[in-house]
Amino acid sequence: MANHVESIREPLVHGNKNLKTITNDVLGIMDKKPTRLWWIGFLLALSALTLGIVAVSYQIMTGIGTWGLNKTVGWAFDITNFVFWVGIGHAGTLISAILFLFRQKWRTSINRSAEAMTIFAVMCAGMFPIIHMGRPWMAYWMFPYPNTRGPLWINFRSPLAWDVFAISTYLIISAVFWYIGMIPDLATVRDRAKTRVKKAIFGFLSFGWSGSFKTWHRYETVYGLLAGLAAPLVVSVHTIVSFDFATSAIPGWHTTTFPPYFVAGAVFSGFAMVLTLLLIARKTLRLEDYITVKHIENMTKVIILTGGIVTLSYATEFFMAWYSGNGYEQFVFLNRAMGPFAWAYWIMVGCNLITPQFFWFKKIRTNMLMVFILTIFINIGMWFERFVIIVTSLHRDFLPSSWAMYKPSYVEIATLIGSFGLFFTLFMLFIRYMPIISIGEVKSVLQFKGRSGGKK
Amino acid sequence: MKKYFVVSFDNEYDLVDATQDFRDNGFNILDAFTPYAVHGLDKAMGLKPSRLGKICFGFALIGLTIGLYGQYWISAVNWPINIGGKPWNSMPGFLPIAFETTVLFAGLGTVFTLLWRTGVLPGRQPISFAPDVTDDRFVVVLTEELSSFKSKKAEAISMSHHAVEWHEKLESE
Amino acid sequence: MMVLGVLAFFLGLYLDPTRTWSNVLLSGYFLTGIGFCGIMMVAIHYVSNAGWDVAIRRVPEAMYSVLPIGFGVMALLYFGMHDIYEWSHADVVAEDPILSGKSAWLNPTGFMFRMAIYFVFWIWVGGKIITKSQAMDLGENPAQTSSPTGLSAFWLYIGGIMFVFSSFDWIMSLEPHWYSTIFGLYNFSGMFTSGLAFIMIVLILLRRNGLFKETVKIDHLYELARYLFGFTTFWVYIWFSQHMLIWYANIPEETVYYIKRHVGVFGSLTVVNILLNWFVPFSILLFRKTKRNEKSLLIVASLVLVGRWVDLYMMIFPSNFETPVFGIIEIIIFVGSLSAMVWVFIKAFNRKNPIPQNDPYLSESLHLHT
Repeated sequence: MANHVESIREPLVHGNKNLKTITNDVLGIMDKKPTRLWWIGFLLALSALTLGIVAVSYQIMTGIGTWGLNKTVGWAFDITNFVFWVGIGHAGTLISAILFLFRQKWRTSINRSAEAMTIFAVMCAGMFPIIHMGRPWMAYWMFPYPNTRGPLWINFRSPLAWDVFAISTYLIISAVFWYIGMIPDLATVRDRAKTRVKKAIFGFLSFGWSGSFKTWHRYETVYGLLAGLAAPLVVSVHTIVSFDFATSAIPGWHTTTFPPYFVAGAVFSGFAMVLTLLLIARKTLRLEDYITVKHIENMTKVIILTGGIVTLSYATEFFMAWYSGNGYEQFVFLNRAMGPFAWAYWIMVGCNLITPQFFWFKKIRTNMLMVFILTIFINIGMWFERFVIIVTSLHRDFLPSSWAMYKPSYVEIATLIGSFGLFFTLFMLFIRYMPIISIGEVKSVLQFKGRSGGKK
Repeated sequence: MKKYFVVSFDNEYDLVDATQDFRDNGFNILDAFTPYAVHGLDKAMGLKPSRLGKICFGFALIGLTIGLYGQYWISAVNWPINIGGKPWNSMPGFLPIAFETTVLFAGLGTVFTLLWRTGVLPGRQPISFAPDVTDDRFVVVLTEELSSFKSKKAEAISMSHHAVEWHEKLESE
Repeated sequence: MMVLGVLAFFLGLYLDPTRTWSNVLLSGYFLTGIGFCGIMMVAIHYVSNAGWDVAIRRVPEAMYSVLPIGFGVMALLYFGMHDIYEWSHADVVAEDPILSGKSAWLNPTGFMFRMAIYFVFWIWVGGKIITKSQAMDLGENPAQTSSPTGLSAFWLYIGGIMFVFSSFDWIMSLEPHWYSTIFGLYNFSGMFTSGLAFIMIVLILLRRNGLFKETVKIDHLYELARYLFGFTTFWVYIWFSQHMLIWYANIPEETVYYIKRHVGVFGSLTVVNILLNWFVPFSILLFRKTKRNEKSLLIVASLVLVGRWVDLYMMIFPSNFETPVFGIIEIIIFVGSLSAMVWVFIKAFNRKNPIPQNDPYLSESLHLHT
């Protein structure tokens, strides 16, 4: 890594920290009693989760006839949620792996929480297809294994089978990456633990990490390798999710740009969600010195970039629908903009195309309240994007006699709320019981006063 | 009997310089203990580049082979089924899963090798020569046969590099 | 060589106009890509606030001067449009309902008009970025470095959109019935790899001449090699996405594109294309040792440039030819335009100090250590 840092660069961490204060600031959160704000958030999330559990139990017992699906619209709400949550997850891996490969040091303050978010989001995502199977207790049939049914193997030509592999690999590798990154910090927690119970728990969790440099040396190599593996992995995951749609011959779904467009959209929505969460976390946990305005600004810039790619994809798709000379393709896009789901389409356009343009202005980028509001709009817009893509392409296709409408049932909405509940419950527990900032990595980018002159 | 000489610093630069100095003066460096991966310390300690990259590459090849051949064998040899008129050997359609198995094998294989090689495993107790190495201390540990250890020289080097603390320790302790 | 290229151009026009114009398009698009990549690298540098590449920045800056040449060559197509673009014949379009549906976009006037807009924007706004960036050599105030940042973001945003549509115009419309939304990104990835390869070759040659001996270290080449590694992989990702989706959906209007390219000698060339643009660079650059070795980098970069030619050849020639044509016309026109490119590049490069002066991140770049 470049070891010479120009003095005009803004420091990554504010407030004249030294190594000790970093440890105390970050781990102090775990020592204190939870604040009232935390309890409110946690209980809200927990009640949403409870609602979700009730809804999921009900629909599993009754069957997925409780959803608003019909013969024409066979995929709608749950797949929208699935794609939405997978997309949210992408920002974490992008921050931890791709920014690592691009040597963007500002990632160190935010990668831990973003990675945690990835794991929770992928868990939420995985829930939906499993429920949609109707018989979730048979979920293990998705994996190929010799069985007494033939052996009847799975169909490897199906993009849905690819999804199974992609999502489970993604979950496993992200979790490993996250945990490996956390071991040194868990050892720090162990070494400052006051009570025996805490010492024992974190002693176990930290796998006997001693800070040995011989271990560090190999560890760094592995971290680089994992980043190199996770970067194409994250791209492949949303690519494969986009294949679910793009391999079909349905107008509005079958378009070759889907893979990169979905990846960009995923990063776009993921960064919006990371910003939403981090803005809350930095405020309530007083982490302003670590997650600085500069961090927020950098993330909004990534949003401008990925928002630009999303805009370009909308433009290309619309243009190409006209250019193709294919009447069905043209109809789907006109129907999106002017048909019965036009409201959803314009919410999507408004939120995803116009919102990020505000970030061109430094005044808005540095105004935390504005950033917070705008990222929420992007979250909403990206949910609607998936809804528009999925539902509008299905509800009016080749045969007008089988056109139909779609309306989500209460059960489906409750399940969506439940998934948010799961996500936030896990996130609240995480910021309370785990080191939410990568202490070791932040320490390594801390610039010593007067020693930044490139001297080893 | 062996003797350990434990020197603590309060920043990485002194640690790297001192380690280099110790090694140039013929001391045997057992290990260093730091709160984060200090840049340039591997050179100062004379560590060879890790071979884990090769391990990772090997696991990736295994994963790729299993992914590709497994799908081919299942779909084209063991139980061929005509689905949507696609050929039995639908190679373009097998690549996504083959990629995932490659990453999965490479990732898990590398991590398990790391944990196994470094002994960082559940249930292990950490070795500790000095306190606070996971917080804000940078420690280097020298080792030598008790009889041949040049304590004076080691202390002088420690002093010249602004060490905050040093002490000696016998193997039996 | 340039004179020879012009001669071959006129001789080729006399013998086989379609083939000659296809070559002109290929060369023009190749040069445009190199020039475009030059400004893009400079703009990305400013937008991402990077420091490591200050020492090598004069190279992409000088690549900018290739863009006008690309414009000149592409503008020649005005005279050769009818020989390669089916949609430029009014009588053919009138009889074809699909083509007449597209005629609002695909018509000779619109084609030239859009080409002019693309190039004027790229050259004009791009030129401003370059001027501002080079003005630092004179000034004392390091704060000037921030000035091209906003402009760079603007250029990347608008220029990128234009790049995508330009590839629809110039390359995809060779087969006007066929369409693929990823086509622009596919060309983008190819443009980026060829630009990176060009920068690397220039740097290695200049290092051998002793000019960059002190300032450009193997670490800079290592960074570029990592980019090249990433973007050749990106290229194959886009290639695979397009190919797999068309293969899977199996819609005749789309598969016709690949059927042409998967049989006979074109079929073997498709394999060569993937080998040159991805498999060989990927396998060589996978290892740290080869990424830090000047010789292996020179080989890889040269192969990638050849690969870019093959890639463009595979996009352009199967549209109008049943079997591949390759001979003296291809070689001389391409080599002729390459020599024009190198000539302009050297002139532009020599005009400025090879190392940017007064850049606040200069010493950061000189001390790059990977």
